[in-house]
Amino acid sequence: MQTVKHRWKDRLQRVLITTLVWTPPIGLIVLPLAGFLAYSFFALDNGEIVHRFTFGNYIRFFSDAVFVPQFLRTCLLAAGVGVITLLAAYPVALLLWSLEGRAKHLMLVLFVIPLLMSYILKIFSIRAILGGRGYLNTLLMAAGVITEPTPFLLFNLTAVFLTLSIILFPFTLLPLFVTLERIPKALIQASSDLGGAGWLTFRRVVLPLSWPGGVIGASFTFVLALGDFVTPQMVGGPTGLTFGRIVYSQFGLAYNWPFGSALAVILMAAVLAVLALAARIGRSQGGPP
Amino acid sequence: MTFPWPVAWALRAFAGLVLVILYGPLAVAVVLSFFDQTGTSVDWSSFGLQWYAKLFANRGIGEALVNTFIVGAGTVVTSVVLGTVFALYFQYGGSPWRGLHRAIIVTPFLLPPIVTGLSLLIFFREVGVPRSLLTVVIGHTLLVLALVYRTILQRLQSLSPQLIEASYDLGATRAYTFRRVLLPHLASAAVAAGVLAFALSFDETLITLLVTGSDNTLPLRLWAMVRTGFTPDMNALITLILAATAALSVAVISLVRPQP
Amino acid sequence: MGAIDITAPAAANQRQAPLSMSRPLLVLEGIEKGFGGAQVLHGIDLTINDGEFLTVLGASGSGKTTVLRLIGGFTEPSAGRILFEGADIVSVPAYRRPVNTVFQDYALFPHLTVAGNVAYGLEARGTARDVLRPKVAEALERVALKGFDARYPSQLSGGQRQRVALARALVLEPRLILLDEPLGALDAALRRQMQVFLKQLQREIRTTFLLVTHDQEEAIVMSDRICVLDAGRIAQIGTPHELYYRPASEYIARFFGDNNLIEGRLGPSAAAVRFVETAAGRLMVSTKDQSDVAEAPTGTPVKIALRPEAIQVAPGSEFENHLSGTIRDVTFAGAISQIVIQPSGETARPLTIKLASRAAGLGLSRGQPISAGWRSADCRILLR
Ligand SMILES: Nc1ncnc2c1ncn2[C@@H]1O[C@H](COP(=O)(O)OP(=O)(O)O)[C@@H](O)[C@H]1O
Ligand SMILES: [Mg+2]
Repeated sequence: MQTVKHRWKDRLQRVLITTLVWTPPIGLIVLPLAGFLAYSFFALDNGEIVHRFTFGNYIRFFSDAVFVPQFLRTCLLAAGVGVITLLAAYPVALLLWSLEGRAKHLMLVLFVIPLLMSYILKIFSIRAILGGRGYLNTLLMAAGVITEPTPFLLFNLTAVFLTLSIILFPFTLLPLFVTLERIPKALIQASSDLGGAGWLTFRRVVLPLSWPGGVIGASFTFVLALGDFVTPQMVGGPTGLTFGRIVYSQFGLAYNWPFGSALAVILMAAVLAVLALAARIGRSQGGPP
Repeated sequence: MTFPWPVAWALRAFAGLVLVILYGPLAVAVVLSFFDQTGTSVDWSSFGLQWYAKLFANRGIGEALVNTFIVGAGTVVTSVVLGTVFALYFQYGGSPWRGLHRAIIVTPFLLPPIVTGLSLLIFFREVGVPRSLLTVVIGHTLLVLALVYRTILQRLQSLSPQLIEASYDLGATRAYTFRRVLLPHLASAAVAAGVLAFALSFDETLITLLVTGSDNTLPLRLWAMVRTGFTPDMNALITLILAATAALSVAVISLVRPQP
Repeated sequence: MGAIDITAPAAANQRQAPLSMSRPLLVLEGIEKGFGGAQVLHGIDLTINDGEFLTVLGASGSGKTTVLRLIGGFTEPSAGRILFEGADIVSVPAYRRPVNTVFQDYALFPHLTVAGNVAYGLEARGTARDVLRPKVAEALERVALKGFDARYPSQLSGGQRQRVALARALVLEPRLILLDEPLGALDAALRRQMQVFLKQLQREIRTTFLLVTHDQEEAIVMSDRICVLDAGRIAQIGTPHELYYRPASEYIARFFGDNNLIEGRLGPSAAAVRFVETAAGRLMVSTKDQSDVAEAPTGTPVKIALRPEAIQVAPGSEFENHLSGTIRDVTFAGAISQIVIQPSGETARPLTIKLASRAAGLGLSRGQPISAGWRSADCRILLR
């Protein structure tokens, strides 16, 4: 008798917990993503969203001469940001890794602080440096390197590239550093014992064990660069148009949510492909999970 | 690993250069926050706190700051509570679907914020939820939940199952064990995760832009200020936020560091 | 200081023999346990009597911990019953069983002090503070940890942690204490000290102890009875003396030290003895309490278990079994000297003899011819 009652109570409890635990992720993650996916197949009629299935948005994306090149250019830009931050992050991560105790802790904090610093203000201060009448131009002119302000520095894709690289640098650095930290010290010692010179140890042990972490960091940076729309808007000017900005404009001025959703779905597909690739590399090489 | 000295110095020089690039623009802003300027020419005789005074007179910022704190607090509470419950479910729920559950929770963190923001924007519109600070809290919670969840789950997994069995063995019920063994074990991880959640929420811009109503948070207010043009009190703000961030990150890192 | 006299309970009244040794406290009945596909325990029948010190002995992986976990309530048997004073407790949750465990690696709560750890179980039961305090103090005193109240587990040595774990269980005054290899992590000297301490403690508080170990010496020293587990099956249950001198199988004979095992075939039987034909000749073995051996057909292949210390050099006529051979090896090992002899039979295996060493030496050297003998009552026939 008692056990039967017990079982019943147990089952009720299970149902309650299951409901409680699954409602937020399904209600606030799965459903919105599904809705967003559905929206990309809707259409706009006289400024009203029509809930009818159509491939129109995707057809428009692939047939219009603007979107595909713009998309590819933005992918290239984001990939460039990923690569340049990775190249810059490696020496820094190696330095952090080789430090000990307080020095390591302090340097780590120094490289993490910019990550927590206000995003808008970071962009803003970079813009103040890069601008046509900005400090970098003034400095270069004062030094006699250039005679008049170069427009090369602000309101174009180069500026977007530079700004994103500076802002997203810590995202590449941290996973790389964490992976380096996880290399067992014994492995390095073993390699040295076996007569592996410094360079050999680096090439044969450190590099193969750490690069998956670098790839994962760089792919995070890629994802963030690809989807950003605030940075390009602030430093990109009219020629610094990126795909993220185009998507965002569909939800603002252009007011075409279904088309904007379709563009974002394409963005998401690119992101998922890159993340899956990075995860594969990470797993096959024993990088961070 | 120790590098030969030329390599070590090359690495140091390079890291120094990176630091200059990362901090240079901020440093310029910090210095200039104490001076008047016209265009790029600085009046070096005008050293003072005038821009800070102007900043504090700016009501919009105060209001935005309050909103940011409200959103931050909401995000911390919801994400830590949900993160803890979900981590417990993963670890002790014994559900065959727990892997899927975890994958769903981690998704918003992996997707670009614009996708998370847009899908919420569309969802709120379809469901008929008006955009407000509440929707901002939801957006922020989804973003930081992955990190909070991971932090707490990792701590939970570091707890020896024997300790829980020992507690039962000594006559403690599940609830008592949760309170006396699990919670103390999770506490510092939950605090660290909460601080992290707050820091991320404090600065979140992209999702906020998409899901907020008429209320501004600090980043949105800054975004608006920046777009309307440069004012020197921005430099004062950069200085203050840099100082606060530095203090906060020192706190976070010493919390996250394993206690001896 | 670390130098604590853990032999203190010796002062306690040693005459307090366990009460009602024969009254069963806990009975395992036909217990089966599998994990997924792997069957870990096979038909375990075991009775633990009130007040006894029972040891489950077995190699690593034989299922000892699983037995304790079943009794503690951390896992359920696939089949069978667990009776506590006659009542089935399989469905009783761990926190309501009158049983406490000293875990293999102590499982002390790292965030609680020594006193906090010991008080935990009482607090969980809602014991009032003024009742709790003296109980905790008494339990700590019992395990010679007075004055360690405010320390954290991380500030203790292995032996001290072990005693905290013990105090944590003792303070609840359980009917049965389960100890999972409690001395496994200690060094040899401390281990021996703790064996004596545990045994005396158990006599003193007159609580039933179920200890698990893979160390047969430990089991012999401490236990009233030993249950040997071999790959999830009970190989033999008995007093240490029984297992040592009357092993039921070759497995037990090998497990308990260095028995000589002599292969042979059963020959004719006589009153309370049986002859065995071996490569070293016909040997006579007592079959006392071994009706199965007495009745087994002639020609059955068997092994004779013979303890090395039962063999005499240059035996007198009171020894029924004699053999001659040459000395292959002499090893001095302190109190004991070990001699290996090669019997003169063609295919006979070498035999090991243990003799008490003497200051003047034993006068035995390699290659020397030797005769040896033993009583029929000192060896035993193993059918399995
Ligand atoms: N939770 C479990 N899941 C699967 N197999 C287990 C589990 N616990 C124990 N086993 C298996 O049961 C066997 C006996 O384990 P255990 O009782 O711990 O042995 P002992 O304590 O004697 O070393 C081992 O082969 C072990 O692998
Ligand atoms: Mg074990």
